[in-house]
Amino acid sequence: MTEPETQPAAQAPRPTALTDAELHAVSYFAIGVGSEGSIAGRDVSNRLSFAGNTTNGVMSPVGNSGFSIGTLQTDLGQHPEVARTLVGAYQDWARTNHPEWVLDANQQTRTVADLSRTGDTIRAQGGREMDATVKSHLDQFLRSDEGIRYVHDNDATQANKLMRDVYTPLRETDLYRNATPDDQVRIAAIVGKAYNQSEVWGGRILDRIESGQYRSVADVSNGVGGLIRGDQDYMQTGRDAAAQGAEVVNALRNTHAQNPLNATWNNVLAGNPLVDPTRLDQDAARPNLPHEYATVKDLFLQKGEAPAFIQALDRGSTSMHGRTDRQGAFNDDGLYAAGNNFVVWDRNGAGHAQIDGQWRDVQRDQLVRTQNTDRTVDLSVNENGRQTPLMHVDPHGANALRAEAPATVAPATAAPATVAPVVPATEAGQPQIRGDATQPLPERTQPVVALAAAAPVLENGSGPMLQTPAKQQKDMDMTPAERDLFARAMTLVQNKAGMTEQDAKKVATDVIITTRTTPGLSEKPEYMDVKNGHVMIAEKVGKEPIFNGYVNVEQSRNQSPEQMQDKVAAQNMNQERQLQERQVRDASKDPKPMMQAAEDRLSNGAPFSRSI
Amino acid sequence: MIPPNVQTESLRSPTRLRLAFAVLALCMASACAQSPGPVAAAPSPDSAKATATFAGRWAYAQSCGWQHSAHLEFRATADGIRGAWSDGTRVGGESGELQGRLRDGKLFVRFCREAEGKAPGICPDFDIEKSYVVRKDRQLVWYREYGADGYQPYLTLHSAVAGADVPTDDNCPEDAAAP
Repeated sequence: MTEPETQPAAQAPRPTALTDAELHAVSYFAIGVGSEGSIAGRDVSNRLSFAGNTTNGVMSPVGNSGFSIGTLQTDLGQHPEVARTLVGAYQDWARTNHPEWVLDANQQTRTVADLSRTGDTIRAQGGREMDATVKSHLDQFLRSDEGIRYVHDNDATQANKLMRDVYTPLRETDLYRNATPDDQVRIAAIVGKAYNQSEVWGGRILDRIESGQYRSVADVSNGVGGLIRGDQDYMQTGRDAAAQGAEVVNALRNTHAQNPLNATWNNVLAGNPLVDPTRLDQDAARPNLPHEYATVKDLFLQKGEAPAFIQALDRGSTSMHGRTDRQGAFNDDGLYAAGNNFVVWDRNGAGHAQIDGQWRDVQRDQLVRTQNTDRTVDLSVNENGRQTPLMHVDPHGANALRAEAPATVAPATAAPATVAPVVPATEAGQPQIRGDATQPLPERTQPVVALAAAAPVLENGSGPMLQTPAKQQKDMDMTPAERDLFARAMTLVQNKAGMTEQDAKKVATDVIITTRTTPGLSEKPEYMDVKNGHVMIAEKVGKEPIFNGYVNVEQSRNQSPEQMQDKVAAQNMNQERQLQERQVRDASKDPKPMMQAAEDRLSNGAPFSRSI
Repeated sequence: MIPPNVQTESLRSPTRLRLAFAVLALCMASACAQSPGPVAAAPSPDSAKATATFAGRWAYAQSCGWQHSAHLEFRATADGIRGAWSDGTRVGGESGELQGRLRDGKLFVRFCREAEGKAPGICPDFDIEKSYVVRKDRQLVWYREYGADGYQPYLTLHSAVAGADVPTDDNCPEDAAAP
């Protein structure tokens, strides 16, 4: 009989927690870009917005709303201190760039006063508009690098306030701690949004969560819906917009490893979701960050269409969204995907494409859409009269590269997307994954060390939302061959990339995961080397190695300890689930009781060991 | 519950009238300043009928743009017309309680908003009268005070019956506006 302590805990891993970067992404992208800093998909963060309308020079505000700026909109009427700093920043900019636009003392006082008006004050003043010339100059400042930076500093301040006032106490609540990462995103988005709309209402929701009144995402959502009696109130519309953004976050977090948006999202997180947008091109570790950040932002501007687009790329399938005029030219925003290639563009026509792993800028008016007789579409880009094909899109979704849904997408038991192996299949300058990527991932049948209990499912079937957390962190289970490969990868990256042992472990872990998830690769590849910032792995070597798998060294090294723990936990959970499936199969063939079979297996020597 | 006509009759008696004046004097001097007073608590049959024309929940919802939404809710109470309100967009807004007073077929409304702290206009302290509503067929038109021009139409609200959709305002010129 095996000693009980030799068996790993037979319980589901503790639901993992979102990182600070992910929570900042919820604030900035889901709440900010998706629900505040845009109107009908158009980015309005860098201009003086006004909730209301202006007719014949008369302003008609909505409620008590005044002028506002930002991705996380700051109402200057409610925050006159921001109106003062805005005018101060404008003056500094104007002195350098447009000395003739500098306001004199009276103008400066008047401008601050005009910008600081609440909706009630604007009405009391008969809807008087502010000086149109000054407003135009202020808008030009807000679109300049200095203005973008000023607005972004305000956004970052507000995002940090949400982290301090909302997410920090939220993280301590049972509801959040026991929620799946997907539900954590949803809860954070709903509560953060409520707080951003009204600190009174948002604080009330947070109090109720802390006191244990709410036990699910639905409870929290309904709580916001019930703050004001009736339907379609402003708290509800705000909640719904933020919840839509949360689904984009989850779709991005849960991307398939070979979805090109997987690396895109991970780079945005690693590069800091609150990065200064004027300095995106200064991140040496992430040279494509300008494309990646803009692409992510575009997805939140098109939050209604984005999940289907992201999931199409998970499958390596196709997706088309983009309105055209009568001549067939695109005239709005759009999202096109085919295989591992995609193009996104915003309502202003600025776009980004990743084709065969290469990023490029795209302008909407350069895109040419050709509808074929079989209803497929060819998308190409017209530059100076020369057309370059971008992609062939079959609306029926035929020829998907990956037949299975992403392994990490099921919210009830899946690990967060950060556990998805970071293997950019089409990294710039690298060969693409071979054609066999179109096949379903092979089912792995290696035995694991012990019986694993299935993740508990609640009475309502909603998954392990309220399960008792298991605090024990598990090491990664590996076969002896994987252990050898792990050591080989450690030595390789330490010697060739000069990595520390800690960082080398991260990369080696990703190497193991890559061999597990990449068709054609086994735990005994013939070739492995570090080239162009990647660990390149080939199963067999002929005259030249045909590479089957890649691990982006920098991306792997930048993972936090929490992300690594998540990743290992998800891998172990998958292994345990496979063991269960195997045991069920074995039990149907073998009359021996399941427990006895498991004990026998343990007694005969477990083939797995701990590595990290 | 005392029928409205009994209350109205009783106010005409000299004793009750003196009492009413005494209460009114007290109210003008101090805490009751926020209350509509005993007259509102005892509506005439006409005013009761007028009150009924406003009673219920009224809503405005914009399906696009800033997704402006607002609601006004009126109910007749022993203290006069009371209710709740909200007004905002998906970015932010305000809500709270209201008090109504009928005058010339218009229901003049005072609001207080839910917020931290104590200040004029923050519940339970009501702001001064800056709005009124009138019935227009099956709709309610909300007027707000607008500088020296007096009152101007602000929103047209629809009766919000439980379980029925409120017609939405789908006119959003800002959606198509150039950047």
